[in-house]
Parts: sequence; structure tokens; C-alpha cells
Amino acid sequence: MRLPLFMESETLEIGYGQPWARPPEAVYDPVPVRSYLGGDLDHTFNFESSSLETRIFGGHLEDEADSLGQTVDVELRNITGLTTNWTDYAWIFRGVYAQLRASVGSVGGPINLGQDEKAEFMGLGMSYDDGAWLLMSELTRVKVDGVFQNTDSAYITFGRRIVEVTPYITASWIESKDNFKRDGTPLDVLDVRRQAYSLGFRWDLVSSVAMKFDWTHARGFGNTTGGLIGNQLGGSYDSTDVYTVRLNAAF
Amino acid sequence: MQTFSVKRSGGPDSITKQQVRNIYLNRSSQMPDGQRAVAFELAPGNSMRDEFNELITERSDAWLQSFWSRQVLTGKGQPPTEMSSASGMKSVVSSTLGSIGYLDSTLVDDSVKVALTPED
Repeated sequence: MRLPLFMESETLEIGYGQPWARPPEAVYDPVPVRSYLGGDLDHTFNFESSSLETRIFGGHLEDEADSLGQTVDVELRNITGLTTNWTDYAWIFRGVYAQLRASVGSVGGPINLGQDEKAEFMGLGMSYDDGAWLLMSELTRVKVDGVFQNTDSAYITFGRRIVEVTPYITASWIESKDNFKRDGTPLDVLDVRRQAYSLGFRWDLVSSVAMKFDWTHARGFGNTTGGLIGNQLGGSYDSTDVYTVRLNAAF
Repeated sequence: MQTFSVKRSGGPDSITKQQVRNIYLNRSSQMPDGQRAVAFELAPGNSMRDEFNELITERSDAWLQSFWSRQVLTGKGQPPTEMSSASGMKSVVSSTLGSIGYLDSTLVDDSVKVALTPED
């Protein structure tokens, strides 16, 4: 099952359902796993012109994930969480909390970022969509005991639908909050700080097919790699530009 | 000029614009008389469909496509069944319990009941 940590968790593999070329990395990348084995219980309260959905979920997962260009084993045990979602069908407000025990990398292996560490995830989200104007924003916090990064991140997107074309702008930010734990160790490559600005548009070409164009400029890495694979501390690069053209279809 | 038709026998006598909107945007699955709603629509490109979306859902085809792909893939519901013609719409509405569809008022006959005639 899909970990319901984000507003767009359920559409992560359905780019067609999203306005962006890619979900903002600052918020969507710090949790490198997507799906768990477990169950959830969901109830929706319907009111006159709004609804409130609550869900509790629990389970575990074992997966491989990429961390700075290396493949690491990730095991999350005893996942328990709660999401709540209120909407009046234009505005959506969302909250999520989850806790678990995390093991990242393996004991005695080349990478060990912690075994059975207590971890927490907190997120707030809001969106507005009246068919013409679009606003989306999420604020998330990842806390893991041990050396794995604790990060705070956020993004905000504005968009406007003009017939088949939806231009958007996004600003996002991520920062690790526990750099002192890795000071003077090789693991200080895990420190991250980055701001990114995106300008893009979605173009609904024909029914069920959308083309997306995006230019993202990232900067403000401070004394970190900015979370960029291949970048070095102290900065071979202090900014980067990413251009994306993407074709999404739904069947 | 369009009207909203429901099954002749057993359907509600009237429905509000907001109730129709809620059914077509997956916010409600009930007809005013408590029956489970079964909505029908015409295929994209049909001018009646465009008029309906302009007047009732107030959403573009592109928005609706994206909306329904999300609803389907996240298990929240299925879009209204598409009919290729107005006469097909009329016959399926007249024979389906809890059904609702839209028709040009000139096509209305005894097989269906007009529950709403929106004013623009």
C-alpha cells in the first residue's frame, strides 16, 4: 500500500493527475520509500457542502532506496500513523503524523545510517482548486534518531488554468536540522540545505495526454552538497538548473 | 436549452443544480429520493456536454479528465458512463433505476421525467 504521507502520495506514479512535471523534491524526496505492507482504516464524514476523511494506518516495509547515489537497504518497522483531510471541494486542508522504527543500511555493510532508530513524520498540507486557480502547499518534518538527517521542508505552488494550458510557479525549501551530529565525520555529506524555484506549464494536448515543461533553479546550499549527487562539500556547484519535458498519459 | 431527466417511474420529481453538480463531481452518490445515483453523460466534443459543464459542473474537459483519472486510480469512484448520442442517453436513462442524464428539451418524451430545467 502507498504510504499516505503526502497530499499527492496516491498519484506519485500518475503524473497525469498532477499539475507539475515532477512533485517538488524538497518535500517528496526526504522519504525515499513509497509503499508499505499493512492495512488502513478509513472513514469519511459527509456534511452539507464539505467532507472530512480520517484514516489510521499501520504496517512495515523493507525496500532498497537511493541515498546520494548509493543503494541502501531500508527497513521501517511498527509504522503507525493518522491522516485527516477536510475539503469543501475547493479548499483542502490536511494533516499527517506517523511514527516508526527505522533501519537504514546494514550492520557491517558499507553504509549504516542507523538500526532500529525511532523516527517520526509530520506534515501539513493545503490546496485550493476552483477549476481556474490552483494553489498547493505542504510543510513536512522528518525526525530520525541517530545520524540519518532530520529535515524540515516546504513548497508552495501557484497555477492558473487557461483552457488547455496551466502555467505554474513553485518555490521550495529543505534544510537538515541536525548537522551537529555529523560534524567532522564523513557523514556530513548528508547535511542538506537548498532552495528551488520552478517555472513550468502543463499542456493538455488531447484527452488523457498532458505534456509538461519545467525549469527549476536550485541554490542556497550553504556548507552542504545541497543534496545533489556528485556534488562535494564546500561546493563544486553552488547552484543548478534542471530542465524537464515530460509526456504523461492516462488510460 | 437543456433539461435534466431522470427515470420516469420511481425517480425524484425535482433536483437542484447543486445536487446535480455534486453527483457529477463525485461529491454525492445519492439522488434526492435516497436512491443510489447512476449518472450518464455525452462523449467529449458533444456541444450538449460542453453546455452542461459550463452551466452545472463549471469545469473544463481538461480539468474533468485529470479529476476522474485521480478518482479512478485512487479508488474513489468511476466517472459517469459516456453515451455516444442523445437518443442513447434517453433510452438508458429511461431504463435504469436511479439514473440521471441531460437532454435537449426537444427530445423529451414520456419515457423520461424532467427534474430540472436550468436557467443560464
